[in-house]
Amino acid sequence: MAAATSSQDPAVGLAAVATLRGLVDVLEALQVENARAKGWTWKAIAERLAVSKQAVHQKYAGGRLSRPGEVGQHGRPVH
Amino acid sequence: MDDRFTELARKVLGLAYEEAERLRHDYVGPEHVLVGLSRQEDSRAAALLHASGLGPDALRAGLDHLVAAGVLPGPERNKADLLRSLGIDLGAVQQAVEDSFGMNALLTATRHAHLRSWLREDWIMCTTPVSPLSRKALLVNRAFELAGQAADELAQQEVRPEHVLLGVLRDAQDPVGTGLSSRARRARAYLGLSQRGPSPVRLVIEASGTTLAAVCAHVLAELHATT
Repeated sequence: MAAATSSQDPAVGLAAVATLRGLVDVLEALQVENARAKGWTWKAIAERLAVSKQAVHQKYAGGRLSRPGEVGQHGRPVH
Repeated sequence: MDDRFTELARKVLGLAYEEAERLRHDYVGPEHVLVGLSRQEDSRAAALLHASGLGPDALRAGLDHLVAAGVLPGPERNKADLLRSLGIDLGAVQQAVEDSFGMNALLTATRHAHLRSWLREDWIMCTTPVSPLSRKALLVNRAFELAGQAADELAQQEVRPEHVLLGVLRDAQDPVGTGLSSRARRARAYLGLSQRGPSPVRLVIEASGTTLAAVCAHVLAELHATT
């Protein structure tokens, strides 16, 4: 019902995009967390996300998603 | 919510959730709690509201009016319909994520995504981050905190629905957004909520021909009588 009327209405269109961005944020965090748990390095993660290593590190490192116990900072990606 | 809240007071949140669901809102706010309080059977708070002309029907009509006036988000402003307007089936995404990673991983990732970007503390409970993949955001922290304070003032150990009602009323005395950081304000915007203006609870109560102060006085009189 919303779809039929929304595409031309900026109020709906902009809110839809903001919601999509929220969805992407969570999906990205989920994938990064999974990759870290599987021993991927920040560098490898950054490559697959097509962003700089600094960007991904700045965004996700800092304790929350890093798992020093499982794989060290210099751990290698699984593949 | 701490242990001081009685069973009845806790159940208010479930009823509030139902009210948010009825309006297809992605959050649970004090305005939903107010309706929840009025719907509870065997509760003094409900009786007090009813005596002030604020029964469930009047309150619901009031909220529907605020939706129609654009003060509260309309039913089409919910995350599933917004994403559907882009051709995205939120239910399908949710299912795929849960199948691959499980519910716990999803909750953790949601929390991480939000610790990073939006909310950590403020009056929004960090246990329920705002995201298309999480449940409704709880925007009732301040009202519940004020409910606890009300019980303290009266030297009453338990927090009952009457205290919750007082918390909701006192919260409504301030404009929306009181005490919020810029992050939390962004979260409100994300939910389609306004950043300023009188609280919806105040508007609904005044539309029913009474005032916050009058209802507060009723509740306080009742609470003093029970000490």
